[in-house]
Amino acid sequence: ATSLKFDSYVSETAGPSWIDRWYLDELEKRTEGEVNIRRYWSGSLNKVGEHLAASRDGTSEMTLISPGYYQAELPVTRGLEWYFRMNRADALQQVCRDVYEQFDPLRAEWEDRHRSKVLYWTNWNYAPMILREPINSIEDIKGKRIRAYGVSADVVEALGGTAIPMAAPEVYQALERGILDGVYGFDFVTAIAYKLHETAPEFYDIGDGPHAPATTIMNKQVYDGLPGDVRKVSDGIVDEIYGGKFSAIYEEILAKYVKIAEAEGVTLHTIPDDQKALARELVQPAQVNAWLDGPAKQAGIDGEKMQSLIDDAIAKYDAKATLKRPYEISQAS
Amino acid sequence: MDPNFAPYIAVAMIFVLMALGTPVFAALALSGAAGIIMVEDLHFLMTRLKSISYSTTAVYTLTIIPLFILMGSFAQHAEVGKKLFDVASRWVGHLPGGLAMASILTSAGFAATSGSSVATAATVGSVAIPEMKKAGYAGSLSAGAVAAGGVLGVLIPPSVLLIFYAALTETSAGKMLIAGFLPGLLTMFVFMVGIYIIARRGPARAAVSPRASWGVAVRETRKAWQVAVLFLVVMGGIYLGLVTPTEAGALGAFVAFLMLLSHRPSWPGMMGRIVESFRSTIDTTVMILFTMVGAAIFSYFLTLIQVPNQLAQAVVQSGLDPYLIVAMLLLVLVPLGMFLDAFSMMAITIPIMFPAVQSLGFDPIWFGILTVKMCEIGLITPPVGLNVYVIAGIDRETPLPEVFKGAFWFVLMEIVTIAILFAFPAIITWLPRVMSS
Amino acid sequence: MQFLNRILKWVSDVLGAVAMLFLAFLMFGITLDIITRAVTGSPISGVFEFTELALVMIVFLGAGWTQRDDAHIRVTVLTDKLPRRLRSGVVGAGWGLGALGLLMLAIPATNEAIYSISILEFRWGYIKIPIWWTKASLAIGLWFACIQMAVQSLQTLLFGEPEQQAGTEPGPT
Ligand code: NA
Ligand code: NA
Repeated sequence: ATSLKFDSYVSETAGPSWIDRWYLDELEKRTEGEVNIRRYWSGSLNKVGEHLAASRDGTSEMTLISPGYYQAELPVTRGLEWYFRMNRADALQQVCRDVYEQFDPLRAEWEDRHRSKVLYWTNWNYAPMILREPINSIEDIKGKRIRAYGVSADVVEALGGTAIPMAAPEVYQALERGILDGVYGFDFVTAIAYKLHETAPEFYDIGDGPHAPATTIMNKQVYDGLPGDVRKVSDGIVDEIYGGKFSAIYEEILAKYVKIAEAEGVTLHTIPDDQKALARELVQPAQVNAWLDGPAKQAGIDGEKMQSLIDDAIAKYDAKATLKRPYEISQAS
Repeated sequence: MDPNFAPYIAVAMIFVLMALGTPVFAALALSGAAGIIMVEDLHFLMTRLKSISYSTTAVYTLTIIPLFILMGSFAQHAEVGKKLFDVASRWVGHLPGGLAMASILTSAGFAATSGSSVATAATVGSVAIPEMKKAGYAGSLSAGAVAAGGVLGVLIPPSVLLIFYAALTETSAGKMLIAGFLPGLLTMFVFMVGIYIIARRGPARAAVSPRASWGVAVRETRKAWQVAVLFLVVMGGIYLGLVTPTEAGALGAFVAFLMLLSHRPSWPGMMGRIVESFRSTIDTTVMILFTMVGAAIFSYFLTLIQVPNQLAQAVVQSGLDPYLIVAMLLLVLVPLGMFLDAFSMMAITIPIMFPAVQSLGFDPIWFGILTVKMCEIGLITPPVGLNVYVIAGIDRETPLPEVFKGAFWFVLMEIVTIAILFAFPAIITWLPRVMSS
Repeated sequence: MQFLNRILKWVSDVLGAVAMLFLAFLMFGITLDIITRAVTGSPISGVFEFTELALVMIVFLGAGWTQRDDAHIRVTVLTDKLPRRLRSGVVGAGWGLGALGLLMLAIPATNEAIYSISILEFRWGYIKIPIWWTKASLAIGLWFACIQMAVQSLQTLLFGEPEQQAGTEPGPT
């Protein structure tokens, strides 16, 4: 029997955990006891920021990685992090997979540099702009103090807000006391779980598209050392994840959380198309160019090529993807 | 090596190493390391330890610890703490254990501004302990009182732990915070009654000062305006939404620093006082955070072999009477709290316990407050009791076991409080219900 | 031995002074950040990100002072009851175990520091802030604390416990 540790910095009900749990359950089930997985949620084993090294060095066999926490270690992967380029989270997953297969430096970053196999790409579905008070236009974001990190801080600043960095445990009370006017870059499911809407009930879909790629990885040596039949089972589960399971799982979760949100007083808004276009112009292509001129250049990779692969993949997948955004779900029901 | 023996050996090692006089952080680190080697190997251990010192200390919310200790230290040099205690002793000094009661009241007041137990214990401890000693209190009572008073920090809102529970269980964070208020007051009340009982039985433990007249008491209170300023800056800043609790620590330290600069009697040797404040703050901060690193290694070991999960799982699946299950779940948190920090305990056990408790039909908020109370107990029980370490670091004359002994009385009082809350859920659920309707 | 002690004291004072600067930064820097935010509406870039790095510097560079001021928490009730000779042996061994614990942290922390420097590690909050230098300082602090505690262990084993050491230097009150 093979015993593996799965180690995640988020809780078992957080956005990406739904797909992780499905993968882990299926792997155990389909190998009929050959694989046994011990699960550690909420950073209970390794702390946030330690998981990449844990997989690389083999102290944890499997883990969820959000590249935002490993900026220095994942310069190529950061090329996948941006807003305002596409619409659907399930398409973003496919985009990440395609680029990973086609762009060697990206694969090398994971397999050689961090000695880990990407089992599957995932993401944090959607992240609304969460505000205490309603707004009428992008103009109204000016001067608002909004908690944000990394690329989401870029967006807040580009839209005229003030990005305020703040430790996650302080966010709820900072909203309550009015230190913050809003939060951006918290995915929808997590925001509802953290009950941020108790003081900031105005959720805006600003046309920014899916939020933050993430990936579930396995130490490469461990993966290569798995019995052939186990690897085959794992690959089969991964194929199903890309083949529609991802959308199926998140459709259900998002529908469930939209219901909870509305029952608990959240108002799901959107902004007019011209406002979305305005927001996009403020953010892109400046955000991607900043990556091209910075991390991509320093890493010595052909950033232009990677971005054009991304554009191609977006063109290929985005239009036929189906995973609805919370605002759309609320409209449909 | 049979991995089933590893936790017993590792726990035994903690006590042996501590008895030898090994610094506590090293006793915890070495025992945890030995456990990890028993179930994995040395290479695994050394790989895991690469980032642990950094990840345990590079935590924004922990910066609150040195800031509030620094505030306490400046305030003490500026004799602000002395004034506060002059006030307290005029009002309650004639009661047996009056000053210890005053420090519990101060802790409760401070807890209303800080979401951290350690910060509460550190601040109140650095102000109150020297004054209680001067009044002739036994070290165990004075140190035990402030160590235990600190636990009010996570119960009376704001509280990071209450919010963490709400996020883990997806219950209302606002209701959780409100729900902590009355149990916080009840805890405070039980502590004060407990102190009264202890103090009456041992006069040497709690010297009594003569009763002051009302006129004197009021006059003394007016002299303590600086205390009022400090509390206004810290509490007001948080409540008006100007600062986060961590920022309030910096602001409080800065204001206390200004008070020291303007304290005329301190002018000779001012530079020495400032440096001494910094140095003693650094000493205590290093001690606390090193201990946290050691505890993190030990906690990693227990988490790795899934001891907490197995204990919680066993109770959930026991098929006992519903109330008995909840009681057992809470009791499981006592041994866990001896070794683990409150956040790890919650992160590991709540996902297992909560679905069971919910399906049995219990109120999630009621269970949440009881859980937080149990986690609090862990802060004052040996061998890993962070509040006790903080206080023992501030009060260097009282040996560690004495502080634990003093804190143990408060563990008993906590159990009484929890029994009351268990039997009368309305104390917890009433306020959130009223406030939300 | 006297010479060695002087060196250890000098190094701990230098590192401690740096730790003190970082503590002063925490107090003044955050206060200034609050005031700036209240006046201009925007925080000072980098103060937040720098805060937790300052804590790392305080802890690992301040460790020398903590040892000199005998501020590490430990249980002495049992060893105090031992006859003088035996006590020196036991307490010396206790410090030796402390040094071993620090060594166990210092070696992997050094590997981590080397890796961190090799990638010029940084963190991305609101601004990009380098963190490799804190990991390097952390390792240096741990090595110094380890050596200091090992020396304390040897001195205790050879010459017995110093009388009332805690009283000779300023400690937390
Ligand atoms: Na509190
Ligand atoms: Na404990």
